[in-house]
Amino acid sequence: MKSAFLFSPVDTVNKSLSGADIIHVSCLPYLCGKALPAKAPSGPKLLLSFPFISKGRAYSLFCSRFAEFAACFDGFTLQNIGDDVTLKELFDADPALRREDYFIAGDNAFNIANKTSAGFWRGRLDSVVVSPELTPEEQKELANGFPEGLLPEVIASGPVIVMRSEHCYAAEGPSYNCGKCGKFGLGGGSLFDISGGELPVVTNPVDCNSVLLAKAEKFTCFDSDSIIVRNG
Amino acid sequence: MALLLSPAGNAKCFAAAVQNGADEIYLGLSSFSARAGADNFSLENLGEWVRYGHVRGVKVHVALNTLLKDSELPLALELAREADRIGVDAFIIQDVGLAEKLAGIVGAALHASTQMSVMNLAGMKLAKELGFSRVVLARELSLEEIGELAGTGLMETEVFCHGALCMSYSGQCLLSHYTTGRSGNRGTCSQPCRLKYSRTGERRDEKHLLSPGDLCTLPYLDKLVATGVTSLKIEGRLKSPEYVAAVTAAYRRALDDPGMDVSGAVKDLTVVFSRGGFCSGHQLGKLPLSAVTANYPGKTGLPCGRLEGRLTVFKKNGIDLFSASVKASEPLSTGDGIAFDRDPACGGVINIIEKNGARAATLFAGEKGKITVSGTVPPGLPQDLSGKDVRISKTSDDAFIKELRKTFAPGAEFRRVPVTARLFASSGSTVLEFSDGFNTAASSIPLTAGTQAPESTLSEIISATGGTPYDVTSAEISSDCGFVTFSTLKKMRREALSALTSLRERRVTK
Repeated sequence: MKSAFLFSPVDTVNKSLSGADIIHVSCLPYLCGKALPAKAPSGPKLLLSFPFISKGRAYSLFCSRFAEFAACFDGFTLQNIGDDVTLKELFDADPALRREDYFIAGDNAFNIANKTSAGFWRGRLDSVVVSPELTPEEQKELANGFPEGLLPEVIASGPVIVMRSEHCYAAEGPSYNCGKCGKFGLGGGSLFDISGGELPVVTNPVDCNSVLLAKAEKFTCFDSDSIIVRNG
Repeated sequence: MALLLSPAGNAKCFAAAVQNGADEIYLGLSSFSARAGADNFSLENLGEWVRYGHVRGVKVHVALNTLLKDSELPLALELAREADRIGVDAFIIQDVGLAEKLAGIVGAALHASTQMSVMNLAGMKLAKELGFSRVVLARELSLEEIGELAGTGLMETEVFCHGALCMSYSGQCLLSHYTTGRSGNRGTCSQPCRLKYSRTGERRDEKHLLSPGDLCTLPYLDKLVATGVTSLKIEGRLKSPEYVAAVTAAYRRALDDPGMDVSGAVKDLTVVFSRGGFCSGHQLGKLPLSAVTANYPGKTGLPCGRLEGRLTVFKKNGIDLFSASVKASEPLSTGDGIAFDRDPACGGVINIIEKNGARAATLFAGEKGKITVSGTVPPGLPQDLSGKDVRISKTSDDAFIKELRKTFAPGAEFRRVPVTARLFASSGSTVLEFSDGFNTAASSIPLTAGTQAPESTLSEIISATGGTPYDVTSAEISSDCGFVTFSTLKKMRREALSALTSLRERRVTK
């Protein structure tokens, strides 16, 4: 299977993503007022990502609009180990929302570096990202040893969240803009390291926090028959 | 009352933490510690230090808080089992797999590392399910959020009260791995957040945009304690024993005397180590942008005055020196370290102070004098400093450092355990008993009739606990305790205290 992570609204799905079986979609645009996507009868599974940081107004907003989201998406991508409990509590609060075919994924925040850690999530998640800090060979080996019932996902290329911060990297001057910037997704520009390497900033104007992205190297050793391979 | 948890990167730091008032200490072993760069401890010397801590009422937490590969998990488990047998009180864990394996098989408690990024009640519930009894909350929580989570009573909570901050939520930072191949999640963070970055549209190599100042909660410690948090953690397993001593002592005093004026302590700690002064992190609201140490990411010290007049730069015996007039805003003494605000990498140690043309040991706040410093000046600094606003900061206080070192010198016992003593007769024996309130240990000899020495003399001998960690707060002598020679009584004192030490060395579980 192939997957991708989209930091912009889903209506901008482009050709490079059209071959994906799973598309993880950032919730930030929708929390900032962007219209929810119309549910397509076929095509890739659209998984709505929980907020990258599991507190603050974005998190509360996400939970309060959960019923709307559940109706539009095919599942959810969790961004913190506690999201597993939150999701269960949201479904428990409104059992009518629960669907057997929802796909629940864990992102790289789950820090899966060994089979035992992966095993803990079997029965809770449908897939989880293998730690991108392992070498591609180690990722492949771990993915091949995943417990039955839990799909490994590897980040083969494209953006990886390398920092989640309560700070807003896009903030300038003496204070934060405190949501007045109105930007979300990749509207926050980029940071550049001293060698010119670009680290795109994903801003969250709801809470004035942000995440920093880096581009994963392009690894071609993964076989998408048995694992979910994220490209882009 | 919140507990005080101090770091120990090595044995000296451990002693410094204990002797200056820590209730708990955390340390790493030779492997699987998020601070691989610290000296850390081996299984061979861990027991000695665990006993040292326990005897003085201090619990010991072992950080096994890295992510583990499959090949490492058995080694980590074995290390944990050995440390558990030694009697450590808790393991600090990041890896879910390790937590799952350890839960229920070790006597020590499991603490969820801040690397697990627990920032809400749902995260705490999951940690509880995994077998953790305490969670080290994410550093990015506000006092209100800490209070809400601590108030649930679901499990013990721990928060950082002092030290370096990360720009990313701990456990969620992959930047070091992506830039250098060294993973912060595996204990080898290369600190890329202290490097220079530029924003879109700005000149390259601009500022240290990801470098936060250091946290200091002393000015609002009462509010942090009022959240109901179980333990206050001092960051710094890579820091010196002097740092551990100074910070632990300052927080100990502030916790024990909530009304105290902390301004002096904050100044002391600013000199010992701080980046651009201190900040409140996110605890009093978002990290202020002014708390990002964009100009310099290292130690900056306490502003202490400005250089004036003519700057002389010279060499003597191959050593770089400079001298200039100074107007002090804080006391400066010979042996103190100073740095230039415009370039804190430059500066040095004050060798000579001259006041009114004569040598002096100290220049007090508000006084003018001349200092000669062994060290360097920033490139391009002119000889004529008039009107140049050349500010300097104090980066070490020689006298303070010497006082701190006394507290963890070999054999130092500033941390005394209060015990009560009783000398009495029982079942044909003369018994000397010591109690710490929980443990009681005794030494006895056959009862011998005879004229006993005055009670005050016996009490003095029983209370002579110098060289031990014990302080006899009361000694009760029964009139029928029989006759004991002074040398026998001293021997009984040593035996009973030794027995008490054996009892105290063990891990106490709730």
